[in-house]
Amino acid sequence: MDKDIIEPMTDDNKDFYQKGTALFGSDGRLRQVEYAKMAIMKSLPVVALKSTKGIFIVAPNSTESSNLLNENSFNRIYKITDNIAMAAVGHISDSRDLAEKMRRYVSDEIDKFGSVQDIKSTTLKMTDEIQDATQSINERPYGVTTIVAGNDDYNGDVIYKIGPSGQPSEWYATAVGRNQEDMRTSLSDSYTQDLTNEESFNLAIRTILDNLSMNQSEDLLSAVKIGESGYYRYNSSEIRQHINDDSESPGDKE
Amino acid sequence: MSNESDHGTTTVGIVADDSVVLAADTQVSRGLMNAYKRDSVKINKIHPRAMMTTAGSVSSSQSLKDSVRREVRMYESRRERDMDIQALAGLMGRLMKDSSYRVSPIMGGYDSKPRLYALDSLGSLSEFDSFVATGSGTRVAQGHLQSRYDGDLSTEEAESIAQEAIEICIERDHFTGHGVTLGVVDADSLNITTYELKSGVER
Repeated sequence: MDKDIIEPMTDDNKDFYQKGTALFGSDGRLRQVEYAKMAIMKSLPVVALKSTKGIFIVAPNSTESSNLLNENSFNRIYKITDNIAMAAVGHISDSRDLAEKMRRYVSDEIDKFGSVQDIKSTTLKMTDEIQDATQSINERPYGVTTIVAGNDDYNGDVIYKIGPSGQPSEWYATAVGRNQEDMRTSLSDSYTQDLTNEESFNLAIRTILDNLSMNQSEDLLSAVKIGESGYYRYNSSEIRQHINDDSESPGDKE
Repeated sequence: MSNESDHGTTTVGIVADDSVVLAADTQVSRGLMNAYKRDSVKINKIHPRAMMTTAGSVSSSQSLKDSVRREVRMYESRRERDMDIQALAGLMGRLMKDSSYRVSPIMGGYDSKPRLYALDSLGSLSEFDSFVATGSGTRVAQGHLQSRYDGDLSTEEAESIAQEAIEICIERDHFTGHGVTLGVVDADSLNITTYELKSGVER
C-alpha cells in the first residue's frame, strides 16, 4: 500500500479526492477499501463459531482497563432479532449504523412474511448496503468487517462474514481482527463440526484470550449465543464460570 | 355520525388483585345484517407482558397490531430489554393519533403491577384501576361490570365476571356474538383462550 503512488493534490484534482470515493489503486484494488481492511486488522477481534446446536460469538469489549472506565460501556455484538445477531470489527461507530439498517430490514421482513425467511437474503441485503458505499459519491466504505450469525428454517445455523468491500463468505468458525491469522490457525486445529455447546463456547473464549495475551479478565468479554431458544447474552459471571470450569479441566480438547 | 369504532364487538377489561383480564366476543359483523365471521380472535399479544383487544374496523385492528408489534420488537432489539407497559400505552396513543385507526382498543399488561388502558379512535388514552368496556355493547357491559366489581378480585373471579359481561352482550347486543375470548396476564404468564359459547368448550 505504501508503495502506491498517490498523486499530489493540485487545484485541479482536489475536489475529486475530497468526494471520498473509493478509487482504484494501480494494483487494481480499491484504495479506501484496503485502508478499511488495515483498520480492521488493527482492531479488537471477534470469534464466531458453530456448534451442533447453536452459534457462539465472543468479543473483548476493550483493551483499556482502568478503574475510571466502565468496560461494559463498549459493545460490539448487536441483537438484530430473536434469531439473528451481528458483530463488528473495525470502526465500531460505523457498525451501529449497519446494525440499525439491518434491524429495520429484518423488521420489514417480519411485517411482510411473519418471520425472517432466510438469513442469506438478509445478509445479501447488508452486502448491497456495504458495497453501495464503495461506489457512491460523498461516501466512504464502512470501516468494518461484519459477522452476521443466525438461524432459519431453510439453512439452520449460519455464520456470514462481510468485508468492507461487501463480499460475503460463509464460515463454520472464524476470527476477525488483530492477530486473525494466529486465531484462525488455532481454530482450524481445534475446530470440528461436532462440537457440543460447552466445547464451542470454551473454544471461542480460549481463542480470544490466548491470542490477545489478555489477562484472564473475563469482565472485558462479551458473549452471545444464538441457540434453540434464540438470542442469549451471557453476563460476566457466566463467562467467568465458563473460564474457571475450562481451566480446571485442561486437555479435554487440544 | 356515530363513532364507527363503536360498531361491532364488545370488549372488556378488569384489573384483578395481581393480574389483568380482558375479554371479547368472536363475531365479525359486516354492515347491519351480516355476521360475516364467527370465530375471530380479537385479543392479540403485542408484547411479552401485554395484549390488546380490538373493537371496530378489522383492517385497522390488524394494521395497528402489526405497527405496535414492530415498535415493541425494535425497542427490544435495540435495548435488549422489553418496553415497559406505560411506554407501550403511550406508543399506542401516538400511533393512533398519527394515523386514523378506526378502533377502540383495550390494552392490558403487567410490569410492576397490573395495568389497564383504553383508547378511542382519535388516540385518547385513559388508564383504569378497575374496569372498562369498549365497542357496541359498552353500555350493557358497563352495567354488569359496575354491579359485580368490588375492588378485590382474584383472577378467577375477574375471568368469570368478564366472561359473563360478554355473554350478556351476546344476548342483548346485535353486533356482539358467538364465542368468548379471554386473555389473562400476570407477573409470570400471558394466556389467551377462546371458548364456544353454547358448549363452553375450549376451542
